[in-house]
Amino acid sequence: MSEIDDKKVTILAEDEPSPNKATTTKDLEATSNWIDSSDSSLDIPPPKKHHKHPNFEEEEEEFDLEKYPVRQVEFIPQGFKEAIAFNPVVSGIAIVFLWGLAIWSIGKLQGNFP
Amino acid sequence: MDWRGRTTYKFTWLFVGMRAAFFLFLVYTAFKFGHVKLGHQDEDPEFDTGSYFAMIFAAGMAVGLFVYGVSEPLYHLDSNFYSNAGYHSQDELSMWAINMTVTNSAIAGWAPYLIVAVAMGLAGHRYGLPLTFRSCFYPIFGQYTWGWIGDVLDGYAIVVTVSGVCTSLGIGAIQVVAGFQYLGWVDENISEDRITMIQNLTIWGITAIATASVISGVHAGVKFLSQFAFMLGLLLLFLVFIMDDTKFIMNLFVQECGYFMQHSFLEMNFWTDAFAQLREGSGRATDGKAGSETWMNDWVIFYQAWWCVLLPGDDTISNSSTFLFFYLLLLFISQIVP
Repeated sequence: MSEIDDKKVTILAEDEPSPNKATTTKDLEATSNWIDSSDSSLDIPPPKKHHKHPNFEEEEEEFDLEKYPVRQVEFIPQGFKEAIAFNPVVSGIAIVFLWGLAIWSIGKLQGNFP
Repeated sequence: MDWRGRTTYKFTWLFVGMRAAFFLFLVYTAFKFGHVKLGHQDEDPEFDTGSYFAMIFAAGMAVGLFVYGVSEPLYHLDSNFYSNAGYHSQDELSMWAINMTVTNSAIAGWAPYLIVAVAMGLAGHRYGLPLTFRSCFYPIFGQYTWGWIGDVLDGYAIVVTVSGVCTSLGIGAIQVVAGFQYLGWVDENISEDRITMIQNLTIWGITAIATASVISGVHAGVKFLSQFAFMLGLLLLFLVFIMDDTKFIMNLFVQECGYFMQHSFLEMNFWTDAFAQLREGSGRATDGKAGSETWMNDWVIFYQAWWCVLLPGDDTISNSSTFLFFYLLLLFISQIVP
């Protein structure tokens, strides 16, 4: 079986004319010109690079924290070595809302723990 | 109907739908950005994996696991949407009860929590922004983040975090005082007012310890308390494992893994109990076999709201992991540990 297949392959290779086969010097020149041509439509596109997300690859970015600092008040309580910092507006919002909610809840208790 | 009931009645679709959407987004980020570290790519981890795991476990599951790990399946035995159907065996109802308990604490519930955690982790550890909730919004608001818009965002974050922590504290105090009563440290035959007072004192005690832990810093008190709590939890788990019916626990564990994949990933994570929430005459079953009207309100929405309000507070505490590692750690905590 393999001998027959080998024969067939040999016959095809030797006898069948290939349309792309250069048989004369003219053909060889034409092939060479085609390779040298700068026709971009025939260029093979370069392999695609793995695109990494830019945000995660960029190194340190300036966030202008000095130009636009976060609002904060610092104080050192007695007995402490390092300062405690807090944002008075944030603390104010939280305290007013939470105490308001607590007082409102005491006035109108409706728990339904499962 | 109270506020929570109204919220459930009007917005179940939003809570459950967003949970599913967050979960799908989580899967997307795991594949797309799984390699990205929360700190700088070349930075050494701040904590070893064991401590990191213990801290995330303590911050994320904590008391809820011990309260609801045992009590929740018992509630689900007669309150879920199958319990009234009449043609399910007790074994089947028990399996549903276990599965619902695991589903409520599972990865889909954690999904919104995780998204905020990695956003804050990136902002704080990788980009050096202040480790506050507002920093997540820097790409949207730019420099305005540091003005009053950011103050409102942080104020909102504090309010909801305190609400979530208070829920945990309250539930934990109820459990602790019940334990005291079981041990005989507190008399069982006392008035409601006295029990409330003891619960309040317990909350004050826990708050004092937690405050001292936070003031001492992540590397001292928080780390130590988390490891201590985790070790105690492991001891309890081990004792239950060897002193109870071990082969049953292993059988149930294996069975639940399959049951979870079959019923929870899709079915339960999109379940809004739509028909059971209707009134009779509007579509609710009139044969007396309809599910509980309040099941979503009492469990799924309650849990989801609880998860969501803890989002800004219990964020990622270290630069120690990549997205994928962080997700896998939480997957282990949320799926395997319960």
